[in-house]
Amino acid sequence: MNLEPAILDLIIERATYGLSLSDQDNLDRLIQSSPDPAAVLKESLQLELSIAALELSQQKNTPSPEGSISPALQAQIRLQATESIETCGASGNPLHDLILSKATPRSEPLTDVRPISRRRPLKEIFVWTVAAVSLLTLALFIRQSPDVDHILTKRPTIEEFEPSIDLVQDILPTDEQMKRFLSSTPEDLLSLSWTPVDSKNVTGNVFWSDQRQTGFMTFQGLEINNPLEKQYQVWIYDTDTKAPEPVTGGVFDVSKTGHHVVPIAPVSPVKKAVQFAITAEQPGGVKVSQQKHVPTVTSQPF
Amino acid sequence: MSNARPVLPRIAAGDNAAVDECLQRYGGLVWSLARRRCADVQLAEDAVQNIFLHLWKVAATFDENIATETTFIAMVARRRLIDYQRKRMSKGTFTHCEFDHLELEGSDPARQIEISEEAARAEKLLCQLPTDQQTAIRLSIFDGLSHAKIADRTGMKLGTVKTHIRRGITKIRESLFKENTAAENCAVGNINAEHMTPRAINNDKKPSSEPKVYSLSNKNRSTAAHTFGGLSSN
Repeated sequence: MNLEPAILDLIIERATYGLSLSDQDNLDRLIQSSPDPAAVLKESLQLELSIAALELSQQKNTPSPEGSISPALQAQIRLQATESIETCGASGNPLHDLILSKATPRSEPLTDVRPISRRRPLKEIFVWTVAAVSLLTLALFIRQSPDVDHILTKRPTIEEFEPSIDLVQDILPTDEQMKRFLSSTPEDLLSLSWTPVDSKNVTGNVFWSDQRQTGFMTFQGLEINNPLEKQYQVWIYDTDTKAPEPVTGGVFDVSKTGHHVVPIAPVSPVKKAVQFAITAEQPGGVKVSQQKHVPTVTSQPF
Repeated sequence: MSNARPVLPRIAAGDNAAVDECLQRYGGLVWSLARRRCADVQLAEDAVQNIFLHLWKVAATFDENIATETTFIAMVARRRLIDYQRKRMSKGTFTHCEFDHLELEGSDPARQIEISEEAARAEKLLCQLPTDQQTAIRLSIFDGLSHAKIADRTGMKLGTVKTHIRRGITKIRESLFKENTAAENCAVGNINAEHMTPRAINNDKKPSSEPKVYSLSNKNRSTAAHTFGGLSSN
């Protein structure tokens, strides 16, 4: 099909520089009034592909620019991809897929990396209770004290009892925490991806910062666990430490299929994390994996 | 690259692992395209993020019978970059849209972008065009010059520049898609595919009852084996 020059010019200009709204309207009108709009659209696509191919041919002759997509940006893109193509469970919130452990903790319980949002409110309640009791006590004391002005000058303000910024941060859903963590672009952000072999379905990533001693892991496809029988445990491999064993990063459960975001909370400082692993362990986790349960997934740089 | 199994259909089907593969395979290409248009790294990063976000949405519309995945992704990237540039220019944050070649001078030649089949053919076809057409196309597509600037630089009339570009690109399109019978038979829906609604995504994967045993890549084997002992890779 031979397109009219006016249509061709607009199509090529659109594919090369873009069109103004009025030019785009003009092109739409011309296409609609053409004898075969479908054929015009087909040719338009082919022209656009041809122009893309021409620019690609230039790429061959031109070295790619210095640098590439930064790990932080890759992490953002992956996160967006997960959100774009992920269908959450009935709750619509991956957080709901993680359940609180009902297992009996061991005598030396390990750090639980369950969403802090379900644990933190207890601390908040405690803080606010202390604040309320303190104010009540203070009020009673003021009423009984003859030196009211003196006491008033020392009266604690309500701001003293407000949650700290960190606390506010911690009570956010873990996926939001991870977004903020990634948005802040830690200089030493380590981005890894889980390594499923044997065509298993576990996928996801690990994001970690040694400087901040915190990180997050995302995954889907991890088998649902019965917390009374076993729990998942995160391990951090630290190259700089002399400890023979990896550092545990917490224990968590998976109650539903779908996408999960879990914060990583090491029980001891990690100098230089290089790899992470998830194992299935006895309820409450273990200090050292006894190989009773094979590693479930491990991570590698992507 | 062109012989590799396409990743976009897998992404459209909800395979998150394909996202990593897509980033590995095409991240450099998209980055390169973005950097050519964005002298500022931050702007380039914003653009790349925008491109991939859009790519996930239109992944289902890719049809390998029409073009290679590389060319399709390049086309999507170009569309987004052009839109992005126009928006930025309207806000005054872009002063020009000519491509910044200075950024490329210090680059590593070993990291050249692998090109698609169409690109190789397009390059050959370009070289077969009359010199004036080649010049106008190169200045337009490779250097990002406007028609007016091409006219200034070459001494051609503005109308002549447009004619050369139109005729040259049309000739390349005709030759590129001449033998592609599948493209001739493609449905119209695929042609304007980018505006189609992505397919429904099935993520309702039931967990396997089998015990999961994952082996380690060779790179990581030594570290993990330190703690967990020997693991079978099968």
